Amino acid sequence: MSKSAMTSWPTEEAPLDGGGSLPRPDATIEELEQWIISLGGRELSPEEARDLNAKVRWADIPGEPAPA
Amino acid sequence: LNRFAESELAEQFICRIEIPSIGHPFYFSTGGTASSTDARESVINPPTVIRVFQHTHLGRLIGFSIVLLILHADEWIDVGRFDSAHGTPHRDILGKTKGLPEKLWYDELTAKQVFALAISTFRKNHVQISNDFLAN
Repeated sequence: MSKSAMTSWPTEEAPLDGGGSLPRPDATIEELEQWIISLGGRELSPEEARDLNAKVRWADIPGEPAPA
Repeated sequence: LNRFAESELAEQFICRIEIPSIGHPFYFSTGGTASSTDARESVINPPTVIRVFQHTHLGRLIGFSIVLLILHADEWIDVGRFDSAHGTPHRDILGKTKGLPEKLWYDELTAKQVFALAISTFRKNHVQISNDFLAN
């Protein structure tokens, strides 16, 4: 489906500048992780990730596995 | 042997970003038409997190999923998703009733750009996205 087909669907996307500081397009993986942590992100242990995944009702998207 | 050695260098990074409560109401539809005010039974402000999954190999981003989750009745509900499945970064717009009414493809952006756009979009618009999910 093309973007032009979404006129009836309510979406509100952030502009590419995100309204805040985005990492630059060629940011390294380490810089991306630091950016996430600066936003309040916390890396999960394997056990925490399993616990969270087990409590998620994943959307059923044809052709895509659940992100667990 | 090389393939085995390289696979050992692949790393997965799973993270959750808590979104602090900001007092916006969420409406959980309990029936009726999606747009009907009468169908809204409860107004709550559920815990909301962004689940970040990043798969890297030799320092390159080879896969990701960014999922917006809200907690309802002791269950996290997947209300929006950006990911790199199908080989092209895209956004899956989700609806409680409609399932997957829309896919937006980002052919012109790199995976890293869509990765950052996803987190930024969910942080900024999580209330609207969650309510759109519940209403659709």
